[in-house]
Amino acid sequence: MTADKELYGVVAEFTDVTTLYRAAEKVRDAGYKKWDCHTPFPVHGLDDAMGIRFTRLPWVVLIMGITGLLSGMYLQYWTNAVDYAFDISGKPVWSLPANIPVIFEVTVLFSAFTAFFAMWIANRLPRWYHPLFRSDRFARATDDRFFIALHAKDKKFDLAAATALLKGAGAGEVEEVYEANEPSGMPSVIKGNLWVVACLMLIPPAMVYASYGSTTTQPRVHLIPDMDKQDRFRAQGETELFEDGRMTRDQVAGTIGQDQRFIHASLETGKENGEFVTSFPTQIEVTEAFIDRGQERFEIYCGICHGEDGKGSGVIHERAMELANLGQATWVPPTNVTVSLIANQTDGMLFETISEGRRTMPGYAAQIPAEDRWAIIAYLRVLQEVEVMNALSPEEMAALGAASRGEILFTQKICVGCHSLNGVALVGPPLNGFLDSEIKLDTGETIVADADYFKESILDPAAKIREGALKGLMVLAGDPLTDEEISDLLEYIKTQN
Amino acid sequence: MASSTSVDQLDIFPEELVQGENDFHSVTEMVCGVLEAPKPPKSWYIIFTTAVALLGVLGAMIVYLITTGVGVWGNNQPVAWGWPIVNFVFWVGIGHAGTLISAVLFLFRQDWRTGINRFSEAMTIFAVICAGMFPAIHVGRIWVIWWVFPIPNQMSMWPNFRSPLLWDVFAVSTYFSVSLLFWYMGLVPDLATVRDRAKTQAKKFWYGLFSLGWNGSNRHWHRYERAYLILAALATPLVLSVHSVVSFDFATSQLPGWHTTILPPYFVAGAIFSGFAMVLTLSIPARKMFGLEELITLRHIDNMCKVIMATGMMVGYAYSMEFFMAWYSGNAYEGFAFVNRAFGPYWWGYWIMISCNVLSPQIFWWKKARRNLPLVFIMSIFVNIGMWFERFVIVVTSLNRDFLPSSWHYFSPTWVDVLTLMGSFGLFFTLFMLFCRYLPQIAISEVKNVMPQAHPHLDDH
Repeated sequence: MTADKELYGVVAEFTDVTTLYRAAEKVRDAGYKKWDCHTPFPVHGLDDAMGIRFTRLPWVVLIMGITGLLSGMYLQYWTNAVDYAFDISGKPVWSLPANIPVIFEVTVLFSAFTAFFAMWIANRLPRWYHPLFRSDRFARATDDRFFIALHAKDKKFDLAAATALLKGAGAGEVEEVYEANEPSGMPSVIKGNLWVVACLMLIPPAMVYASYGSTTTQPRVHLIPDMDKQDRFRAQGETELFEDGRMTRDQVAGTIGQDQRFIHASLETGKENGEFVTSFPTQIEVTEAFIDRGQERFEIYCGICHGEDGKGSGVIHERAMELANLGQATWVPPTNVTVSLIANQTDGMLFETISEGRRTMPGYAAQIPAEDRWAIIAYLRVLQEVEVMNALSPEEMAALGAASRGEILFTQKICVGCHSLNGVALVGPPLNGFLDSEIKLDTGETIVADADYFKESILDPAAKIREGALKGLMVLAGDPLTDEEISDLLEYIKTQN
Repeated sequence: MASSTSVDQLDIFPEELVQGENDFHSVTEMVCGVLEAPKPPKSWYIIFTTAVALLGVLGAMIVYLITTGVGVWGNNQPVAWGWPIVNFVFWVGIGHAGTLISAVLFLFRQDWRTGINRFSEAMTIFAVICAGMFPAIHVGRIWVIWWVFPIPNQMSMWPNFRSPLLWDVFAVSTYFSVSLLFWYMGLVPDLATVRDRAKTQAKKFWYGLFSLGWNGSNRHWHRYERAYLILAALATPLVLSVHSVVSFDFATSQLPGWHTTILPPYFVAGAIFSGFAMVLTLSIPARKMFGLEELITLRHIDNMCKVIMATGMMVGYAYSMEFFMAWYSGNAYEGFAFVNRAFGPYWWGYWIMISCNVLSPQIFWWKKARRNLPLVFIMSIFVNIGMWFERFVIVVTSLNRDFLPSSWHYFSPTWVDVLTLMGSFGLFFTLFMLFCRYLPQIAISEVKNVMPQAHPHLDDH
């Protein structure tokens, strides 16, 4: 130590925190500015005893936290709304709530890094060399001893007075600490290793430089073969896989071209020579299994609207009627496909209906193969047959009252498909309360919908059109109604008024 | 302040945080003794060797995975998120206790945290490393994993910041960085202690390098404590955000069983629950192995058991509330998902989860159970198992019955799945054993700070 010239200061050792605390107060009151306490843990209240000004660290963190917040927000705005706008289902490209998690994380990241690094910078650390480390006694500053160091650079510093002050404050040992004559360099082992690492790090840039501007006939080096090179067979190519050495193979037996699809015309269209067929195509063999198949397909594809019994009350219809009754939807009810009106249609016509749709019903040609459509028709015929078997005989019909016959006709003639009896407007006007009400025609004239008007509308729907209604919307399928049938219907409608 | 450590007097005075006849120096001796001992205990070698072997298995599995493709796992449609995501959520959940103990308990002035915070922060960092590995390797083409970061590139494309998976990247990487800073900052004064006691040149160099020249200056302590408080205040919302964001991966999807608002608090409670269980699993053997019983006391164990019981009941509440909401919402799909969870093909996973997470912690109502170390150790392992199964149940039962019944599929892991999970434990324990051997396991300066001798006794105060 004698060779050392410059005095760093004096350092005094204390064995307990209370004495240290008192001594710190004395040094503070003696007016020293450049001095410090060194303790193995933060001692409560020592900041006040030393008179340390409160750190500005929190303000720095606050400012950087706000910077983080704005950066996080701008990063997302610029990348996702400006530079590369993400259009997701037409939603706005900038929607703050979805950006908050990342804004929060970036804010915390900036703040935490600032708190960490600003603390070390303000503490002037890392600084691996310190004159105090030259004191052997000082090693216990991180264990169980407490030190006060008065720095020689302080204006008030005087070696004798400082020593006396510390001794008087209850210090154990007081030691003079000197700066090192010349700073010791890095250990040679580390220096050597660093040189080796530095030289090795030059190799990659040197290789890049060497190949810069040179040309090669070799393909590019792919460190990761990211699916840009694949083993596969090429059409018209050679292969060892097959005996004939050709990669191209013959078509599988029975393959047909796209334009050959309709060779079985009636099977695929339900028509022959432009006319609906009246029986099943010859390719179709109607067996029990075939009808079962038809039942299964009917219940999957048709039952949802037409009902599994075909009477037009599938679950979609039920639900739509609930909404229609609430005025929340308009609805074209599905047809009861068991009635004679449908039963009298030819097989080919039914096939066309299933394939291409009717009214609001879409075509099912894309979903149901032709054979299955015929199977559905086969099953439909069963349903219609059951309806015929359950139908009343003419004598039984005659025995019923006129209104009851009308009720059956209302279903059989599919009036029910467009007209409700509970006041809900479907395709046509509701028929309860319709009779003898005043209606306005498209000619502007107002008439009373009496029995004559009713009869005329059934026989010739286009004769008088209500205001706002479409001409030709109401059509009569099948044979025209007889006078008796019309009067039966009228009786039935009367009961609904 | 109670001077006795007798259990009978606990009701009147809290037990001392440092037990036995200890002063500052003996605390230093006790903690530094572990890393200054010429050789670690024999049990250290056994665990370390096993862990390194498993780490080798993990390396082999990852190489196999990357060279072959994710098809080596059991993941397939509709269970596209199989074990990798289960393991990710499991590990990231464990990684929550450390910061909770360091930051939240610090803000609440819970002095007992000082005995276990270093320990659990280390555990957090290693668990987050294990967690972060799984999403990275499960993307299949790991060499383009940088696409998740907003790095300018020749494709002129940016990540989608409105995706919860992207939030995950930011949440987990921020959490890892901040936890690492927090841990390292706490380590610096203790590394300085080790440096000042080091005998060999190598130790003097390495501990000297990382202790940054810390000399215990009170002017330094002043800023250090302020920075520590700020980090604690930042880490507290952060720790709550991380598992909330992880839960968003599930909650923002439209899948029955995932699409619920209870998920964020439920995940956070589960994370704390599993994290404390892992702290117990590690600290009970470690305090014995390294002779730290006077610093990690029965009071610490007792407190952690109470936290486990409380959070266990929170997750139990969440489990029942999920069922209630599934019924009360009247949503048939939601209802099916939950009935399927408890009684479907994975019923065994659900009931393992319930018995490990809800039933087993109930034993901690009894103080005798909380202070029975073998029992606490076994219960902590139960909780670890239960929490792994919780994530398994959430991920797999919701996915394996998707909206298209034709694609319903029974998920089974492959041997690669199993070995990868085991390997992740190898990674975790390798890092943890190295930590135990080469770094101070207990925050020396913080423990000294809560000893009665640490406070100046001033007559005029």
